[in-house]
Amino acid sequence: MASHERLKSLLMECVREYAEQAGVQVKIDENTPLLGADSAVDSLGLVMIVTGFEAKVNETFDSGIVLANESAMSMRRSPFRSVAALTEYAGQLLREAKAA
Amino acid sequence: MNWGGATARPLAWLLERFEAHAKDEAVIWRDRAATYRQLLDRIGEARELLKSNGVRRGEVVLLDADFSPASIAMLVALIAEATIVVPLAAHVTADRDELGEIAQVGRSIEINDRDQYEVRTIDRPTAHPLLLRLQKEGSPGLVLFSSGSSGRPKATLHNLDFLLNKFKVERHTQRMITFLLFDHIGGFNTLMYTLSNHGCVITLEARDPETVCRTIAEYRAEVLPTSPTFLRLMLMSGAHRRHDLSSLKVINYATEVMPQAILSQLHEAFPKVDLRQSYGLSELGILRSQSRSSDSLWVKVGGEDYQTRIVDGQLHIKARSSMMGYLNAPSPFTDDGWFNTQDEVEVDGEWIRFKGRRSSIINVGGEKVYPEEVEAVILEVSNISDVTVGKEPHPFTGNIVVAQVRTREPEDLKELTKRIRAHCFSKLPAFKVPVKVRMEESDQVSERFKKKRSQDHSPT
Repeated sequence: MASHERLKSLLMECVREYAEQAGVQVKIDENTPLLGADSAVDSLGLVMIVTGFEAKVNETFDSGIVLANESAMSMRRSPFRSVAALTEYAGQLLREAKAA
Repeated sequence: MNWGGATARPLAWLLERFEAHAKDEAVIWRDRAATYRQLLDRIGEARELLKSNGVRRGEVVLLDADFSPASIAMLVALIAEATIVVPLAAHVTADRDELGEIAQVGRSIEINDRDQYEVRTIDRPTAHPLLLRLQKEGSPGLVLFSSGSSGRPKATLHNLDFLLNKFKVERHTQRMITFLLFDHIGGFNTLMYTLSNHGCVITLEARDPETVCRTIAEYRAEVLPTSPTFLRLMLMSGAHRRHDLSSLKVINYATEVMPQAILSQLHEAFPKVDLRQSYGLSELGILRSQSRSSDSLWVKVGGEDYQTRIVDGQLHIKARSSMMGYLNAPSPFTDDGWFNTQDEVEVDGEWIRFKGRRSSIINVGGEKVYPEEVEAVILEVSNISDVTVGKEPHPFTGNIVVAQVRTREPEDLKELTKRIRAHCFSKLPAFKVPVKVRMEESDQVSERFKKKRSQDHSPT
């Protein structure tokens, strides 16, 4: 079962890797914003983090979830707004995939 | 008014309009407004500087700058002095010396942090027949670097007497956000449209949704010309809900194919704003266009200076204001002057809908990526023996850059990906850095991947 903590640590690893490679300073915790004016991550950075996280989740849990999808993008509260929100969204997709 | 060949005083009509609207706001830059009077003064200073440096009519001058009162004044001054301008935005990371060499630049003007000019002379003769022809005609010129299906950007040369002709017709006075920079045909067009109708050029400190929306609200912008990717990011970020965007009347989108889902969301978020698709190319200028409705991707393109036809499902255009030619490639025009845009379209009577472009260039959020440029950087990474760069569709940015590599010695893909990304980040802007890296297993895979790239018909 995909625990929230496990997912969160996978995502934080992706943010850390991106920050290292791109040479940007990001304070990484649950509240780290991934989108918007307060975020140290730009749009391309977000693409890299989301793509990397998706690959890690699918590899770890032997799943096939797609995080960057049209419905996620049209949600009123974006699931990409923070580390906590994206962790929660990945967990939700994994639960839905398992139930299907 | 001179509609034909070289004008003795190019832009005299524009400067007259500036005089007539001297008290109006011309440029908003770093939270300060400059009036047309102040802009005229700066243009006067810029022309003096050109004269004192001995810059002559027909000289090729590189203008290395982003939008600011000084850069706009210098651009107008360079055109008014009938030079051939090569604008390059500060964000351009390509080799400036190489671009300067292609355009046979003899002088470069940079604008420093204090908005002051730095002029540099380069000892290089102008020899290209097209440049010599333009010099002989005495018309001002413009060099823009365009997409090409080969690795190197192509330099398009325009006679500005033709390209600027359409701006002599007075249209709406508008307050416009300058999202695209002036080394892009769209950015150049926005700037000239705004200035020629004595509107207000609103410059941006950054191009993220929050900054753009705040700037629109603060300076009551009426028009936002931008890309589908930006609009998508704005909708995702919710920035448009945090600012008062009631001044906005028109959103123009161009540079890449717009997904219907995003257009529908945008229409829902901005029911009163006119959503218009623009269409233009560095080779031809910006065509007049009309969208069937705000939530429709069907569009009519043309205008008085343009003829269009569809051949093999691709849009061909014949333009009176098209470029003179490329400085580093053969002429792309047919004998009777038609240009194949390579844009694949569907047709419904007089309406067309864009499906994508047939070429190897990868469009990431409206920015062009030449696979060959990224491949060259990846090949500098140790243990890489071969690489092919391609694309994959992605809902955030339209496409993402994907690299398929082959190594000399076996290496863990995760470690290799980290090394490749870190090296690419040090050499390339973020949109060119591969999002995915794959390891090749056999030669056949490489062949398939390459074949796939050259025949790829997916939207750019």
